[in-house]
Amino acid sequence: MNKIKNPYRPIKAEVIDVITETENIKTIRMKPSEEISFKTGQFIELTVPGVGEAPFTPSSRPSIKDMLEVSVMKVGKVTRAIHELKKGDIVGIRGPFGNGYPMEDFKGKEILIVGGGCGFAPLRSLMYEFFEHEGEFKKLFFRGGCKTSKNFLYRSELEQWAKRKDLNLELTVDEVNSEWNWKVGVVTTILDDVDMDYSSGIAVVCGPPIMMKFATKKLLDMGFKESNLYLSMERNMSCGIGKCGHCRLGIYYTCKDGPVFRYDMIKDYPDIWD
Amino acid sequence: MGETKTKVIKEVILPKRKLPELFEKLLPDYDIYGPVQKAKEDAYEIAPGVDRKTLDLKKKLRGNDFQKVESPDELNLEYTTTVTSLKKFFLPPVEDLVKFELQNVKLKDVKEAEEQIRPFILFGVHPCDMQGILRLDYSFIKGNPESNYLSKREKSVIVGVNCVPDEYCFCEAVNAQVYDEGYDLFFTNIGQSFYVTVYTEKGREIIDLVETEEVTDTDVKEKQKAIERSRSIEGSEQFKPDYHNMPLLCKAGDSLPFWDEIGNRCFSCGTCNLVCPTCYCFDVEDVMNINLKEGARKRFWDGCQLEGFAAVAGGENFRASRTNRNKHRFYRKFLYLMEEYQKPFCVGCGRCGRQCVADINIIETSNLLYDNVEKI
Repeated sequence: MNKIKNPYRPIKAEVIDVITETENIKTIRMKPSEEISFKTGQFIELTVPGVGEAPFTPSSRPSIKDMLEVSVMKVGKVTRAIHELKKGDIVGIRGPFGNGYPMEDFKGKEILIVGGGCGFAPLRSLMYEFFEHEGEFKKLFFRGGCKTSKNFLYRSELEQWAKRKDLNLELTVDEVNSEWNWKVGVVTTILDDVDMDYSSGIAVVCGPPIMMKFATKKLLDMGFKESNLYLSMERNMSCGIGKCGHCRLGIYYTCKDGPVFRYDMIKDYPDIWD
Repeated sequence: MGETKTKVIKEVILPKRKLPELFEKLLPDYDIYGPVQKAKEDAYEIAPGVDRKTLDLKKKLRGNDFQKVESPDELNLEYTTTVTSLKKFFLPPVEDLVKFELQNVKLKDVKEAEEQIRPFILFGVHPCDMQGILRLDYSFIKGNPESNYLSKREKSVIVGVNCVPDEYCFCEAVNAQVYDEGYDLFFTNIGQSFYVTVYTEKGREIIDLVETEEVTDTDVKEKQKAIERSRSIEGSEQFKPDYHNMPLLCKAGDSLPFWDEIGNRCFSCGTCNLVCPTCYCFDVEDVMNINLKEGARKRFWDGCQLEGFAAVAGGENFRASRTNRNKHRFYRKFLYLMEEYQKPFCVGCGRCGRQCVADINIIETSNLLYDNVEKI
């Protein structure tokens, strides 16, 4: 039997920048010791030496092979340690794992991207892909929501995107606690004015489970086809290779078969939402 | 290894008195593990003052475990089952996956764990457990082959033996009483001798170490009788559904109230996960040595019945209720992996039922599902 590469062995990556995005989200920019090629929507396992590893979908441009960024919300043991990282620290990376967004299937289509909170991170990488292949997609809509205006991830970048001619962008927050010129309310309240053919359009949703659940319901009510809804399912992905069982979702492993799923693939399985 | 081995290379008779000689010849090259009775009566200690007769000891395990042995005298080859399954040989409860070296917060070096193990023989494996190992092979080799699993599996030689089933055994009902798949050798107990079926070259090398006898017509008859005695009829007849229909039944009965009755009984202790030959879920954790310079990425057994198994750091728990966790384990055996593998991921060993403190068992759950779906 040929020697099989140990799938649990990370490669080294140097932290080259740490950007404070909001009160509890930081973006870590890393230079891996070997080039890493990922498809938008795939994820990596990031090791903080001595602490452990956790899964993140890169938020940077997939076309850049010698650098990647992850935006991390401080919620648990590993993410707290990630927030302590400084320039020059050496971390570990495994991956990329899973399936990304099927960019080929999106070509020529009208696409609505719905994001919530930390869900902007994978979507930023996806938006970069759309922008890099300008003209290949019929129409792009971005609808983003956050709890508060103060903690709006990538806000200045999103405000820049609003000026683009190839993108129709609208943002909303549940609570205004800083200067805010956009809408107020949950993200499902800013979907009605999306001017596209729902029955043939694509919708991509990424955000906390509760937001995904209501957004999915809303989009189906609007007339989107189940097979045109792409959801990023959040699970506790640990091994990354479809073995450890934590991220099982029906017949699938979120790490191996996801984390992006078409709604029609998963809708009949129990426990898909919290 | 991993592939189906149905071809019989040869069949011979090994008188039991020859076993010590066989073991002597094998021990220089192999570690040998087999069923050893750990306690004579039951596997539990009784507290002082408690009258044994008041306790239901019938189902308590007869205390067998696969242990390392030096001689066949230590073995209890006429056993029903072992408390824990054989997965521990390929997937130890704790295992180093890689080793780290650190310098402050800098990852300095990553090394292979490189645990060298000797070739080993599992002597006295029952059909259900063989099928359990084949299920693990499927999961750990298919898709992304796992070097940590394979390095151990490749070192293993499997010698089967026919079973002494009890009322918890239902291997036949889930088509796991298979005698010609996975073994290197199969020993059928025919009294003073073993009827040995040789399935692999490795098996032939082993059996050729000692002098054997030719199979007679009487031996063939004795073998058939022994296999007939080993059928898990009592438990298998209790199991009402046709196993082929299990995925359909799971889908049809997903929202039936009996699941809550089972969920309410469950203590979420995870014992079923622990003893099951096909529950292989695990957690990966980085553990540092006390000097904080070196550490290892370790794999630990985990269990889907434990409360936090499907929880994520953000606070959501995708299977927060015991009902959903119970259903999940059952579906993993009879729906999710079964649809993929085309065979149930339950091998009917009955361990979860024997050990469950709440008396939840797969036969009962399957029958409740079957009866309640019938009523719809």
